[in-house]
Amino acid sequence: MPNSFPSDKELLILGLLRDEPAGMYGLELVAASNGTLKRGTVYVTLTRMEDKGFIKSRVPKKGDHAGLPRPHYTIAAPGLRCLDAAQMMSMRMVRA
Amino acid sequence: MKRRPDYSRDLEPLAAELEAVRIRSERTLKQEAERLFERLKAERGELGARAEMQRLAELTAAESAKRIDELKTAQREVELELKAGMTVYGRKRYLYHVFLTTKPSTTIVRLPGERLGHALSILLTRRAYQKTVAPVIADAQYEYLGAVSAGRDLHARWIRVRLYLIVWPGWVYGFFASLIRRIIGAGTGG
Repeated sequence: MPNSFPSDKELLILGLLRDEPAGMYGLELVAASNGTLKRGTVYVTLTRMEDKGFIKSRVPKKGDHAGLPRPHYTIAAPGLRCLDAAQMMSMRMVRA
Repeated sequence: MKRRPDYSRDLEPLAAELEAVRIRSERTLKQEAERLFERLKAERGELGARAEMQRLAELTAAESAKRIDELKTAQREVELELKAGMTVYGRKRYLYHVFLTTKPSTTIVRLPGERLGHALSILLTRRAYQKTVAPVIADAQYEYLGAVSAGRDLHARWIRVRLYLIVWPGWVYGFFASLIRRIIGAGTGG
């Protein structure tokens, strides 16, 4: 069973996806992360998060360009709950 | 590239001769006419001299006009030749410009990562390829097409190179990591 506790990168991705309800592409996540996420590894992280059930991906049959279709990621309910829990935990730690 | 032909030297003598005719008709011929009138007046009287002068003036004017017409025709021919030369020169230059600036309207290019994607789809599992490699290639192709359509050829080339730099190290690292994990798992009986 995969570790369901999110890493810093996963929390960052969850935060970015929560702010964008329509979802984001991988490149948009990389651009919005200000260098925290890398092009070569972002999809490994996203796949891991998808396995955990935090996010959902959708690959359109026909892409938005002539090449391969790009997957589109949206946040799932477990991801939202996980993000809220992580934020509450960090707030308690700051208070303590 | 062929230099523009110089026709200015051909026009110079014609223009000089035209000017000479004009000066002679205005000054020299006037003085000659006065001398001729005096001589004719002495021979035929004033009325006869005037009639003869009128006839000679008409002949001189006709001759001068004829000569001027000939010179103007010659000048026009040279000017036409000059214009034709410029046209040929301009056409050649235009064709040269077209040759240099025109690119084929349709260019078939292979998108970055096509062969790499085929190779890795054979080497990797279907899930690993679809989840980690294909999206990276798709992003590179998306950026590549955007750069090409914007005319940023150098950036497009860099995207193509960068794709190989991104994908290969990650795949090699993943391959050896999974290999080591399997060896350790086999050693521990897990």
